[in-house]
Amino acid sequence: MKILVVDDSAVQRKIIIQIIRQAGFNNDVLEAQDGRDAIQKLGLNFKDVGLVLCDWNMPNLSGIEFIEGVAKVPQVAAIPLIMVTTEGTENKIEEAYSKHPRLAGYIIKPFTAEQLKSKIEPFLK
Amino acid sequence: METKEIFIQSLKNAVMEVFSTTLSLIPEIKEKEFVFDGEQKEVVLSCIGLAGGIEGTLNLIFSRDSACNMVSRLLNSEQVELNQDVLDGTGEMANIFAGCFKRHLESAKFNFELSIPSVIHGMDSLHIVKLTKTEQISLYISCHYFDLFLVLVIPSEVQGRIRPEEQKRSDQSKDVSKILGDLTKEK
Repeated sequence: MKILVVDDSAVQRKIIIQIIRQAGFNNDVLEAQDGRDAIQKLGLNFKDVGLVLCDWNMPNLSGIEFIEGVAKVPQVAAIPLIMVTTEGTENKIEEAYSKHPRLAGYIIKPFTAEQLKSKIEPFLK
Repeated sequence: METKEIFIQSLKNAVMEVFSTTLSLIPEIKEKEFVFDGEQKEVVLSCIGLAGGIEGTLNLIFSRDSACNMVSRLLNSEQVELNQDVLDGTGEMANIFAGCFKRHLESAKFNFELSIPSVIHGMDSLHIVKLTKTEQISLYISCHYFDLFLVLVIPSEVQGRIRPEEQKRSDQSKDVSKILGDLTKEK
C-alpha cells in the first residue's frame, strides 16, 4: 500500500516521510508538489494508494480544491485522506469536512511526530 | 488590550508554539528593530502576504548560518550551504508561523487569508523600508542554534475585526473530478 504526500514544500514532505519511517512503516511514498501533481499521482496509482496526506495552501491547485474533486469520484473517494495544514481555524476545518465529508483526519501545523504518527497509524496497520 | 499589543502577544505565542512543537526548542524573544548588521553577508528573507481583515506581510529574516542551522534541526541532517532544502525550509517556517499567528488572532476576531510564501536571498544589504501609513512590529528570536528576526508589516490603522467576504473562486474541483474520473476509468 502506497502513501501519497501532497505539499508544495519539499522540506515538509521530507519531514513527513521521516516521521512515517521512524514510526516503522516502510510503505512506498509518492510525493506531489501541488493539487495538479496530486491528481496525476493519485489517478495513475489509485489502486495502490491507501492513504493521502494533503496540504491546503499550494500553488496551481490548492489542497481544498483537490479534496473536493476527490470526494466526487467514487473510485478514489473512499481512500483515507488527512489534511496536514497551517489552516487551523474552526471555519477552515468545517470547510474541509464539508468539501470531503469522508475526510479521515485533520492535522494542524505545527505538529509533533507523535501527533502525526497517531493519526496515520490506524490506516497503515 | 490595544490592537498592537494583541498582535505582539499573538506573534510571541505563535513563536513559542512553533519552536516548541517543530524544533523542540524554547526561544528567547525580544522586541527589537531589524537592522542588517553586516556580520554575515548572506541573508534570507521569507515572506507571507496577509489579505482580508488585515493586510500586510509577515517576514522572517535569517543569516545564512541561521537558515542552515534551523533547517538542519528540522530535517535532522546537517546543512552547510543555502541549497534548495534550506531555502524551501525557511519558506515553510514562514508558512507555519503565519498559520499559527492567524489561529492565535482568530480568538481576537481578526480574520484574514495567507498567501503562499516567497523566499528571497541576497548579499551585503537588506532594509525593510517603512512606507507611509505602515507600521512594523519586529521581534528578535534567538535560541542556542540560530537566531532570526520576525517582522510584521501592517497598515498604521488596522482595519481589523472585519470578516472578509467569502472568497469567490472558480469551482476547480469539477476539473479535478473530471481528470481523476478519466484516469481511473482507463484502468
